Amino acid sequence: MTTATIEPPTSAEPRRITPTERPEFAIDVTGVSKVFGSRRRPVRALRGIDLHVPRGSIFGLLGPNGAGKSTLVKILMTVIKPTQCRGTMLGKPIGHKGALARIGYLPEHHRFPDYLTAEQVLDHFGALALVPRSDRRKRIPELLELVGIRAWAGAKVKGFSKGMRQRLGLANALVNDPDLILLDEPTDGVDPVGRRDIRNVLFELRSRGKTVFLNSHLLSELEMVCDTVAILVQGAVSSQGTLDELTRYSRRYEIEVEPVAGGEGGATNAGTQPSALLHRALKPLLAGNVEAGAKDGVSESSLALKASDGSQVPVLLRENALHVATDDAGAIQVLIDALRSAGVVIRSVRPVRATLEDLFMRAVTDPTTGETLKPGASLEDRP
Amino acid sequence: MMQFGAVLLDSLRLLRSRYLFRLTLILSSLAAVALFATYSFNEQGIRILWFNTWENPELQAGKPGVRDFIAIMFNNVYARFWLTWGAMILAIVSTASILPDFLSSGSIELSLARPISRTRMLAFRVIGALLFVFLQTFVGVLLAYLIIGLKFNIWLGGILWAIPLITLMFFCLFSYSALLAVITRSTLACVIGTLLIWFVLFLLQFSSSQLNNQVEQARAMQRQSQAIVARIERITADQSRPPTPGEERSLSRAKEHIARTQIDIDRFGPYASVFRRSEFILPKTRDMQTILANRAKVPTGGSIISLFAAGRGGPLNNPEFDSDDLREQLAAADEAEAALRDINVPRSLGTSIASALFIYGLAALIFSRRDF
Repeated sequence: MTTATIEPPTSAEPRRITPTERPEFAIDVTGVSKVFGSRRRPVRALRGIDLHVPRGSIFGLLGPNGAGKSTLVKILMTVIKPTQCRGTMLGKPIGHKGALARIGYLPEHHRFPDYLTAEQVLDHFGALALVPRSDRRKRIPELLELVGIRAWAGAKVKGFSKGMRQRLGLANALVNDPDLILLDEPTDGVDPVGRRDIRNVLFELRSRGKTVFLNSHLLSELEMVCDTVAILVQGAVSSQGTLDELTRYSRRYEIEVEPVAGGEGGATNAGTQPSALLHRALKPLLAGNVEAGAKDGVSESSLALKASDGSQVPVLLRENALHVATDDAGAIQVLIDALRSAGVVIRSVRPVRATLEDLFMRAVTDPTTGETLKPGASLEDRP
Repeated sequence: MMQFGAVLLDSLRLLRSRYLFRLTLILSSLAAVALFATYSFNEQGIRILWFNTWENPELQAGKPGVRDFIAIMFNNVYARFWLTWGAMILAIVSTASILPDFLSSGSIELSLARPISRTRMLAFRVIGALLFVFLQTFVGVLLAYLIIGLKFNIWLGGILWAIPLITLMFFCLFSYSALLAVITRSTLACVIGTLLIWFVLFLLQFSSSQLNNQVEQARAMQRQSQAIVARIERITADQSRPPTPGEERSLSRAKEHIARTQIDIDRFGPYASVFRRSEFILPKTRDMQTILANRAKVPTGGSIISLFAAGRGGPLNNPEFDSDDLREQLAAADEAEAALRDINVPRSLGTSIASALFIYGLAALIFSRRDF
């Protein structure tokens, strides 16, 4: 295994580049940092980012405004010089011209020369990407067809709508038949039909073994297409992994039961209190004390049940539902049996997992204060 | 090569879309037609359109003055006023947005993400901008060359030097536009900044030229007066006699001239030298005009006045003027101008190109280190 390192040049030490290879990753960078501004008042836009994008996947980078998403993409595409960056893209050091020829890029708010036609735009940028003329001639009509603007091939870009420009931008990112495609807010300004079309293009690219790096703040879009995501907050990666990995600890089962009357006290719990009946039903499975409390005016109890392997499974009893913090279907069966034995009517049992929005909101919330973190880069000089 | 071709093709498409480019091209052509196709020469002199012939023995068909007249019209009117001023200003204004547009947010990312070095990309774009001036100078000068050749059967090959020289002049001026573009990314800053720098360069070169002209003219007149003194002294010495009263007057006038011109030389000489040295590190746009005048074999100022003064009503045919005195002054002016036109071409062009390349280098350095 090798490692490519790009350090900022200093007067004493030239920039060091050590090539390496981790073929399983299309993008494999560590310690990416960028400091803007003066030495007196530095703005740390990126604070040592490690990013590993598996080949042949769709990777989503999300984060609030000013988190550093576009800065990171621009560093990868050599538009911005990093303060520090180690790693490779397509197995080559960042900025390697051979690698850039195999990468497609759709910048955010891109602006094509408005005196060119759609065809000329693709021809021009294709030539800059060293695509042979014969390939360009063949590929350009296909790409325009793919993004749905073939009919406007000869029209000047200045007459294009935002959505058409975005489609053209996508075609431009694909003109060199890249192995890696970086798309910065690709669905910005695109209507729902266009979004679906772009999604289909992304799936098609993945099926052909291409790697897609998506930079977006549209969580629902990302959730639909991404295999892997990273959440960037204030210039640092707060979490990274496949959607499965990231939601593993938030996965639970939710068992909804018919409202039942209370036991000894004669009080009902219809929507207001956890039923004593439920407590009684779960008693044989209890592994610890019951903690009762209330949230948002609704009573709830936290229980810990014994799992078959001896571990404890936290259960939250709230209104008429039990939230069981496990993704083990076997553990649920025991619980269902106990409930049914106690005469509780089960209305539904469904697996639940956190959405990307839940993950995102958790990432941008300060765990100590519970407040949303301020958007933007960090002004503090912290590592 | 593929990338260079792509940028060049893009530049041509950009120029084609520019209203100012088309306008300049039309004006260049019209100016060539107006200056070289609207008059003819006959046995009496020159005739403009359908107006009466202006009698001038120097401008009669077949006389060498005809060639001189056309060379003057090309260099002193077409090249000096239109190509190096009018068209150049239009070129600066029209091309000022090329680099700021290319460097603007949303546009620059598209190019930087391609496998091409920043320096090379900037160089290609600059070459694209040079096309503006090259093409319009090429069309205008070639048209002028063909009209002159076909209409008067005079093939002034020297005027074709205007194409590389004026393109080089723009190359020098555009370096400032490129530097301002990579620093500010503002079209307005490029236009105003370049015109301002050009104006300063012009002032510097104009002052230098005036001072040097003054000094050279003083030296020429001094040499003439010294020759008069030497001639009279030699005659009187040969004949072993005192000067006649007429010779005394000439001697005294010549000595007075020598003293007066020496004052001018002492006064302006040091300043002229300082200006000449300061010019060394700057692009010498004025020199390029002079080189063109030499290549086109344009007669010196005194000869130009002689050419027109010889015509009907001119001072050389007017008894009210002392024609001998006038011819003497014009000869001194010619001698001074000939000294000023004696330019070391490789040194002048070489230092101009080096100066421009230094500015382009600075622009490339900033561009290659800059974040976008």
